[in-house]
Amino acid sequence: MSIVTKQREPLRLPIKTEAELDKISNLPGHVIDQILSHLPIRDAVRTSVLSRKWRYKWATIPYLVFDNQCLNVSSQDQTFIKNKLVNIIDHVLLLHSGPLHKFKLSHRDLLGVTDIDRWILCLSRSSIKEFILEIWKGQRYKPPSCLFNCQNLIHLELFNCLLKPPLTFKGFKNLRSLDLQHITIIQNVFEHLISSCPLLERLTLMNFTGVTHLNIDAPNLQFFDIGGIFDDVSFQNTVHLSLVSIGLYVNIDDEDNDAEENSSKLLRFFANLPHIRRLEVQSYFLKYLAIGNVPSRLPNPCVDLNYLSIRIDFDDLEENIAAQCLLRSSPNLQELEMLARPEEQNTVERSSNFWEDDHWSSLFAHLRLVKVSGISGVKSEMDFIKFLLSNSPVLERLTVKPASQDGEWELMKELLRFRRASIYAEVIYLDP
Amino acid sequence: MSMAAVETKKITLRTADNHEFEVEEAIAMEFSTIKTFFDENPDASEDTIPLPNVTSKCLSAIIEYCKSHLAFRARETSSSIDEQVRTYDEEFVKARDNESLKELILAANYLNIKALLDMLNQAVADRIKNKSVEYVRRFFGLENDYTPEEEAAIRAENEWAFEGVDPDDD
Repeated sequence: MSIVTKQREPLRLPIKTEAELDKISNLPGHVIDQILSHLPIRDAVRTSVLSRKWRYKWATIPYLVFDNQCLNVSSQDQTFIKNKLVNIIDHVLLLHSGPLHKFKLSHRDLLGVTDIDRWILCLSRSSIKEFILEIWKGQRYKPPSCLFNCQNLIHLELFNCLLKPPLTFKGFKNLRSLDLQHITIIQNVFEHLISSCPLLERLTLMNFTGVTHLNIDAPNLQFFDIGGIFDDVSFQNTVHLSLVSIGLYVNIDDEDNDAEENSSKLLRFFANLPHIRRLEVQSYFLKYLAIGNVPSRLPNPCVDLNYLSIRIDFDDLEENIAAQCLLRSSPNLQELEMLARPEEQNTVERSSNFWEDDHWSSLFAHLRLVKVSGISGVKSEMDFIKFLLSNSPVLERLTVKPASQDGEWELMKELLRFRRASIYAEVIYLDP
Repeated sequence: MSMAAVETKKITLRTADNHEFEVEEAIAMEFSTIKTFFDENPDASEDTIPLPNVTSKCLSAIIEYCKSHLAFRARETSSSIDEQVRTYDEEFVKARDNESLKELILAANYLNIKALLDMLNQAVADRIKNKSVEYVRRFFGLENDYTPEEEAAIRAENEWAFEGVDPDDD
């Protein structure tokens, strides 16, 4: 390669001089911080004894994690453990200097004690960006109001807490990710929380008390994962929502279903999800979607949907109708997972086939991977698999995993007979 | 895999031990230091870039790393790709002794390759986790400049952190 000579300053990249020994200590602070922050807190604090220069290097790590590893003694005495833990955290926080960006507290023996209040106060003065608090047992812990002053928060994760922000709370202006599990929060507080976090991109909500109607108004939301007991879910303003996983943990009684309830929950659910890419319908949520008059397909197909996972009772007529509506409305589906719900087995086998060929045309044009699990070989399940195999022209792999070994052979024999539309299709049978 | 007939632009780098490496532009751009340099000096791309702080051994390892990760990124994300990336990273680090690991960190820091630096820092942390103080001093090449009394005082002050650690294994 020729070197072009020009009248200008010679090429110069920043040059550092090397010290013979102690190379790592000459690394910039942020690299040492990183190495130290990958260490458990005990190992990090031990570096204070390495050499004079290292006495307080650990104290400027912007991350602090207190978990089960930070105490190396085991004891049955709860108070003893708690006191030790409190001393350690007080000690570390007192010596810590510089900004603190991430704080995680998750120790199995720590109950929701009031000491946590003063630690949160300390963090609120320190422009904390990520805060994770997991109270493993005992009553729901109620964080103090100062938590709601942490306007630099980007990620907030709470486990076993009670959320009651002060009336003056105006939302977390920088929050992008919120993970709330085993929490108590009342309906309007929840709605206000979500709608006042304009940058929210990820929301996880599991096992919650106090919210029955999930009205999600979040213009930047991309990821939504919930599991719990609720009556209703709807989205507003959620154009960017692309990953949704919903589990309804309670069976909907068919009798509860208001006979006059004609408006379809399914229609309402998809009304504001134009760009959904991945959808997981878990536990009993498909039964929820089956409420009302389910159309044969959605008015606006989910053109971006390429992954769909559904927990279904193959013998239930309404659930099959809802599933079919979903499948007809997903022209670009590439991956499908159908999980049989381990229900009270219906002893009466339905004679009708929900999955007959005539109504379907040019379906599954892009479907490559399918997984069917938890089945036992009953007719409704096999009807579906047969239908799937004969309508998936580009199928690459179908994986079948039964719930138990009962009737395995029969299942496999039947599986073997089914015609396949795709010459590339592999049918893989997995042990239960 | 067949390459397109288009000429891929190459950048020449010269290491501290005077070896020249020709790398594809895409790979050189993974080095933020070089990328910034080119952003500010667009006509400099024909010249050879001296890297006085990087040895040829380091640079060839780094080029391999960046090439592999670029290839991983080009494929569609999935859990099996993540698995492959993890395995690759583990292998990359496993064979290297502490000295070369440190050299790589210095080089990755100088060239400003964030992902590699993160990965290497985690690897170093894994190697010194749970090790005795002496081991860690030797790893970093540090002299103990505390008096015995001072050291004892610090250990006492942070007693909880020293509990249950073997005093001087290995």
